[in-house]
Amino acid sequence: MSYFHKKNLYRKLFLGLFLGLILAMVFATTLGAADLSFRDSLHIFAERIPLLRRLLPPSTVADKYQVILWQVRMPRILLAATVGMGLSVVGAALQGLFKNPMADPYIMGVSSGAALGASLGITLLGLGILQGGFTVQLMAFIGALLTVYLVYEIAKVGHRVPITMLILAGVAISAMASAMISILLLLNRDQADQIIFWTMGSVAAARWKQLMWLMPLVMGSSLWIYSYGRTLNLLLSGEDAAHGLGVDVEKTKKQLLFISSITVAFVVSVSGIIGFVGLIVPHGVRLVLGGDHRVLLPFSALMGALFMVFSDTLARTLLAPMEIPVGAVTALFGAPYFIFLLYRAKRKGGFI
Amino acid sequence: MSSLRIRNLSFHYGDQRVLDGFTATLHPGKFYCVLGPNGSGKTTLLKNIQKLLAPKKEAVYLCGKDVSETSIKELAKVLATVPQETSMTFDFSVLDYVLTGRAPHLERFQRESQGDYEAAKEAMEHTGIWPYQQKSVRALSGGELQRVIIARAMVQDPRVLLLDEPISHLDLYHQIHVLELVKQYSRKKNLTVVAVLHDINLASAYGDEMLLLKDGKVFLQGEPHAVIHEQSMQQVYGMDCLVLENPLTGKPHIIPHTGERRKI
Amino acid sequence: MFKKFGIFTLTLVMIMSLFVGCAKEAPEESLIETPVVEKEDNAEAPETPKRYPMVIEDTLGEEIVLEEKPQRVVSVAPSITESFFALGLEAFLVGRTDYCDYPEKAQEVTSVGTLREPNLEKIIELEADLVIASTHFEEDVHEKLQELGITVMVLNPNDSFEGVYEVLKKIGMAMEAEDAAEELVLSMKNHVQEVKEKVQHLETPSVYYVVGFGEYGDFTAGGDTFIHEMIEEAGGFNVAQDVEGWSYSLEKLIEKDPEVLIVSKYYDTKAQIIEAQGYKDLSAVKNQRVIEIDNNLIDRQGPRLAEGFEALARAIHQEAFE
Repeated sequence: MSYFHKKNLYRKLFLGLFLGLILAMVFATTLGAADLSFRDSLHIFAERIPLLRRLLPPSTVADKYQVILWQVRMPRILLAATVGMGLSVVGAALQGLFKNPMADPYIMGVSSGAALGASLGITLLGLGILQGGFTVQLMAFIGALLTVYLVYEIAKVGHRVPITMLILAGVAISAMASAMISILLLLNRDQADQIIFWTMGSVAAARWKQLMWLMPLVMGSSLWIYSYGRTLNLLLSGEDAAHGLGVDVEKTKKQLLFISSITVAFVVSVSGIIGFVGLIVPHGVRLVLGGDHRVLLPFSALMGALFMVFSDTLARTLLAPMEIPVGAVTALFGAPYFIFLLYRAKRKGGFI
Repeated sequence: MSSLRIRNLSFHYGDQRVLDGFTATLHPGKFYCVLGPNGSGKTTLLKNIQKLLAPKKEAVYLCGKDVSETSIKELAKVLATVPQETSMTFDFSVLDYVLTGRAPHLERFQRESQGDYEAAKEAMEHTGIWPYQQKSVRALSGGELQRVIIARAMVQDPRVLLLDEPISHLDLYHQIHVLELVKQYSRKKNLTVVAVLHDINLASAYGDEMLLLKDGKVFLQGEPHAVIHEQSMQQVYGMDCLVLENPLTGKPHIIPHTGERRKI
Repeated sequence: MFKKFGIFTLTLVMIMSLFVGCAKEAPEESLIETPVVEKEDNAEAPETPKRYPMVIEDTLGEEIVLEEKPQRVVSVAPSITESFFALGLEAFLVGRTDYCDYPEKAQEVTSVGTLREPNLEKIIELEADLVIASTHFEEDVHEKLQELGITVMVLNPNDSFEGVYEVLKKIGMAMEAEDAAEELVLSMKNHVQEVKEKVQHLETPSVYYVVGFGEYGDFTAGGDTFIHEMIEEAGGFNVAQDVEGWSYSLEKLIEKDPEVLIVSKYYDTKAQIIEAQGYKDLSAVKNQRVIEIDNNLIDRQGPRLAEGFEALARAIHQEAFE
């Protein structure tokens, strides 16, 4: 069945899943270390909706539970969804761009660069050289962007950016950054825990202030990347063919890389390195809905958000009150699935 | 106005000069065949026209526009290319694949409309692949696939159609069939067709004009009779041939001198 | 082939065990502990019995032999450094860690690095004849020092007042300062008793002790910790006693909503926590009952522990404590 004929079906499916995401998020707010019943949780939500408020009996839910829901749980659930969305869309786009099923949002060394930036930030803060709570984020962001820039410059051949060169340069720079992080860890045993914690990724510190700009940013860039859906389909048919159909291949590569890098840099600076989401969610969607990017991209966004909400809920309830960094949970799911993908690839002999 | 005008086009690969002051003018409605030995610059010529290789300023004019100053998207609105072979890594349905030909005419967020669908249907019916519309492109044979690609080129609604050895890998039936399709379509839409063909005889049968290339330049341009004869074959290909008149078409037909000769 | 390999390995093992055996061979001395001299009148000018060589059992259960009175001691823990100064033994201290910052004079002593990784070269350079360590002392560092022939004594208070008193007494014993040690221990005991009496009739507010907070997680004193014990003895109710260990969660903290929050006075903790999302809605923050204390007093488990205990009581009861 062609995409053209299925468009309406996809639209309905998307809306359905979107609603599902909302429901999942609401449900997730009822779970956590503190004891909040499902009813009370719905009550707290309903109170915010002006029309419903009048219909409800006066609230028996203590103020502190409101704080827990709105100030502790909601922000992190939203952050998890946002991160999941951003990473999955970028992952899907890069898999298409690099024509490589193993590609993930960190392929250009973004993760190592961000981790290095963050490690520097943590160390310098710990030594009292830097001040301010947001500086680690800023350092991570700068680290991420600098790395992408460096990789890009190294891989550039005249006006073109060969994909193979990008991958290789990314690997090299990643290795270098990792080495530097190791040295930092050695020299600063006291901050070692913090550094390791950061690299494992966490949405625990979600703040509304961050979400205010992160959410629109990620949604905006996801939408923008979605508009490249047709182009990505064309690119996969061959760069020359895409060219013949009006795609400025080099310009498109640069644009996609740029927006992907910015998005990932923002996400990583806020949440640390959450792995596997950007890799396995697109593959999962492909298995069910096929590889047409006009379908793959929006559904990866939704499923990524869902997956992250789910993982984060597990992360904070499995061993309550202790929290597992969400990156560890995604890795727990991601790694076995990744191995499964490899086995499939072996049998099929390669696939997109 | 000429549909394709090339002035003094030169191109180097490193220190190798592949195109050397190539000059030619092509007109709408005609089927041009580009002939020449390997290394004479045929593929480079096409790549320059398509802007896959960047031609210098004022060297290539497509429908009056300087290619070096035209955007790739604008170019794709008037120029469609049928390559030699296409590998299908993607599991498109035939309909979706042909619809991608509308891409140059669509804006970023714009979707394919009913009008686009109709255009695709028309093209697919012309090429006889409408019954396969829901089939996966990966499940098609060579001949069917090439027809799909031509359908897509048609859907692009170009003024100029480039074909880079489009039939080399097809069986005899499909070779003829594809050329027939292209010829009919070009007549109907008054297109300019520029086809690189290895088979001189097929070129002679279908082409309105030949361009015979040698050493990166136009050696001869004109009707088949004027271009394909024993001298030109000897001079360009270094081949001894017998050139006859094809009894069915009246066009020149070459028979190269092969090793074994019949004893008369 | 295998046989040759086996013989080779066996020989290697035998040679190595010889080395190990030699290294471990400590001179056998009399295991009779020399008696501790009781507090006596100075007028009697007793004949000071020969104390050394002395054998002291350290917290790890090892018998440490002191041939003579140690003259050049390196402390690898802030509590030990503080103890030396408190007992008037600073003259014998030649090395300390970067973290030994109390009293101020301690900072004039040469630093040998961190608790976990003291610089061995520095210790040798200082010609230390005794190294005293406490918590966070790594086993491989311990072994390395012993290999180098340096006497190492590990004195760990192990999360109790009694343990702290033991450490002080042992230092006193090793350094011929038993009197000073006894005095100090007594004054500490009295101090603690005073505080306990003061809080006896006061109300018991709910308390949360902030060890760490924020994006890296919430950490507090769980029900099985020493700090928890102290809070309870100081007349407070530790809301985090429903967990063991140090991990807590912001949600539970908000749910428990304690009356008092105790934070460290270092690193701007108070300023940060009252602004932080989630924390700032706590009753304790709204009622301005976020009290700073010098957590080093408590964490170090050294001679200032009684002071720390008092500080804790003050933080819990505030004006009511006076």
